[in-house]
Amino acid sequence: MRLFPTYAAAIAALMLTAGCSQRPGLKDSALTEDGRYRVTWWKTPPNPIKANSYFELFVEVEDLKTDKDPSDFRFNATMPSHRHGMNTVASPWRFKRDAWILRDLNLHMPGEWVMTFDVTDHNGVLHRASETVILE
Amino acid sequence: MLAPTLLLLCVTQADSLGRWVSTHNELGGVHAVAAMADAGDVAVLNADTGIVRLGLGPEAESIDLSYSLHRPKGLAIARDGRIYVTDTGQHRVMYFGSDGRMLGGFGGPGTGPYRMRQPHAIDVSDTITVVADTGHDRIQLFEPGGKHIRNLEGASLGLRGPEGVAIDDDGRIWVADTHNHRVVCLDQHGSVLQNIGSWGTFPGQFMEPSGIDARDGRIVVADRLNHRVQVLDADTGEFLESWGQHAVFPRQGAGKVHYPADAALLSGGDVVIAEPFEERVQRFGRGGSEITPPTLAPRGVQSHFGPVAATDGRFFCTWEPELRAIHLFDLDRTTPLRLSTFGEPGGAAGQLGVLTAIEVDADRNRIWAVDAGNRRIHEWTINPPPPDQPRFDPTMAALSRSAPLPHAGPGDLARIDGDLARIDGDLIYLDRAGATAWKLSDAAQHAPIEIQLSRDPIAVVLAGTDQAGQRRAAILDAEDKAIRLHGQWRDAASTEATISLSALIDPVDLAVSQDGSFIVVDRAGHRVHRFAIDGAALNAWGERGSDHGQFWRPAAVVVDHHNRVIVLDHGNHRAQMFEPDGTWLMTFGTGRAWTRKPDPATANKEAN
Repeated sequence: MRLFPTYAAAIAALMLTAGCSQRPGLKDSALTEDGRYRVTWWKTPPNPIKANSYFELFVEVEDLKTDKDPSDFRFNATMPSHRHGMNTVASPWRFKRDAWILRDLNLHMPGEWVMTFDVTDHNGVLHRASETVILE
Repeated sequence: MLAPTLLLLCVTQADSLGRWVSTHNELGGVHAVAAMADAGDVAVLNADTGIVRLGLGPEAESIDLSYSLHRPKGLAIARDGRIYVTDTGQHRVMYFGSDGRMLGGFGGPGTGPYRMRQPHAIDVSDTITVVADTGHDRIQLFEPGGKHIRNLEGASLGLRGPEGVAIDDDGRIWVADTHNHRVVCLDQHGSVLQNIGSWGTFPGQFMEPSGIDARDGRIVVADRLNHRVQVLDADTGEFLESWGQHAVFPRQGAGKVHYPADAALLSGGDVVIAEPFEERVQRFGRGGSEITPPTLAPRGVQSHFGPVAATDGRFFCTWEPELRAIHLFDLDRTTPLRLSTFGEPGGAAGQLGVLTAIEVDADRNRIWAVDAGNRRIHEWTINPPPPDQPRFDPTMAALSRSAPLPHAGPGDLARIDGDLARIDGDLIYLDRAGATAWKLSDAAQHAPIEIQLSRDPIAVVLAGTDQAGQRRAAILDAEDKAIRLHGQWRDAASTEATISLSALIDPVDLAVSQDGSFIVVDRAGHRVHRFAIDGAALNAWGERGSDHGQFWRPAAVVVDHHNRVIVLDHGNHRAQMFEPDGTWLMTFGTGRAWTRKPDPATANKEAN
């Protein structure tokens, strides 16, 4: 059991020291369905994601309409065709007010996965961004 | 070791309570059963009529308590013969003498310590009276005379919509914590003594446990969505046995259990269960016969469509409580084609508790659902295929937003029933328990609508325009059995007119056809009625049964963009489609559909 996320922690450390300009890992982003938030994430190797390989995510959330911080963030990944999710539990660690680190993520089966990024605002409204990943 | 094992099995089966003794039909919407004073027989509450039947035998006395009840749900009989009923529609408890004379009541609507919101169950002992205050997510304790003692509630207890409560021989309180899918044992100060089960189908797990009773060291639970009865040990919480299985054929009894709502333990160990869907009770016990397992594949559509439905454009939505999933159909096919099924049980984002209303917008490709179990309103964006390329896609709907339900004040978060409608571009939520209409906002800044509502508004629909050209809403009032038309909806909605539905037994949903007439389903009457806007009865169709054109406790109605009436035939696990004049068009579910045979003359003409 690691006490601290390793690779994603390195990203976080780089952000602190290098002014956020250079971050290792594969970058991607998505808007929540209602356009309120932009979610950007950096993923640790292997790239692309392989079935049954652990990876970590560094996630930034940008509020495009207000300057308020999100009150909560959650990540999940499911296989809609099989009606199940991951075998691991993603526990986000809030690294700073708009950034989270997720570790021990594992998409354990080949097939179509949907990754969901749930941002909760201060009114308790949850806004979802999602990304489909196909693993061979 | 084989012989002792077989012997043990034989002994276990012979000792089982789950042996079928008798089935008692034609009892109406039997929502509650309670052991009578001597615990040798049961009293049965017909929630449709407010009549309590004392005993199951042919000589049993029936007492009409409807004069002071509206939507009664729970029943208990005290040792002195007093009859206690939870009056869900008026948020109170009423008690009566054994002759039916009203003796008193307590509770009432509101949020105070002894106020109630849709109390579903009650149990009485010599020293305390316990009420499942379902809408407030709590248990209330009273002295036998009705003086409030305390509430068992709070975040640490975490009850969600408890629908069953029982006092055991040691004074402990057993709760069917329905929306948490568990059974909880509490002491009289609210400390948790046992916490049993979670969502699931394995022994010891539950899917919406709704009724519970305790006697002689046993706990019996009506495990509603698993269509079974489970028996637990009162001291250890250990699972002892379960029985019941979903019927193969409609109305099948003799041990087949269908949505049990309540259970009662008798002094001899027999168990009696109430099945409002089947309008019957069944008795089980050691002296009964073994339940024959079904040997044939299920016949018919067999889709566990829930009691909510919506349509817009080519879409039709409903949900399946057993799966905690929403079905999306394309209506512009020869028979409705299922495009997607999405959702799963749970309390996390995108997971579903209990849906009490659903709405769909074909222009914006949106679906909304009121999730009373999770106290939220979810919104999905759908990405449908082109009309000429239909296909099933489980990823078609993506959750876009999920907001807390509106609430009227602190401590008043429970919303266990309601309806949704789109009126003039606004999403309107009708809170049945709170008798309030809300205009929902994307940012959860929901605004109440200034409108005079009765105590039990159950459905709201857009009903054309008023004389001033403004939108008009029609609201179905279940208490007064009436449709109220509210004009000037945008400003301060005023009541224009009222259409009486007094001839109906249990009107539960409302739709508007393209000619402006109202379609109303009468659940207990197993019938659909159509009224003109001036209140004139135009036509009615249906009767109790399972054939095409017949209904079994229909629960919802919508009119699609082809002006076809779609009735959710809840008790038959299917939907049926009609012309507004009542002509049957088809019956459909998630897998199969039946249509009329083509008219030979029409078919020949088309062939030529």
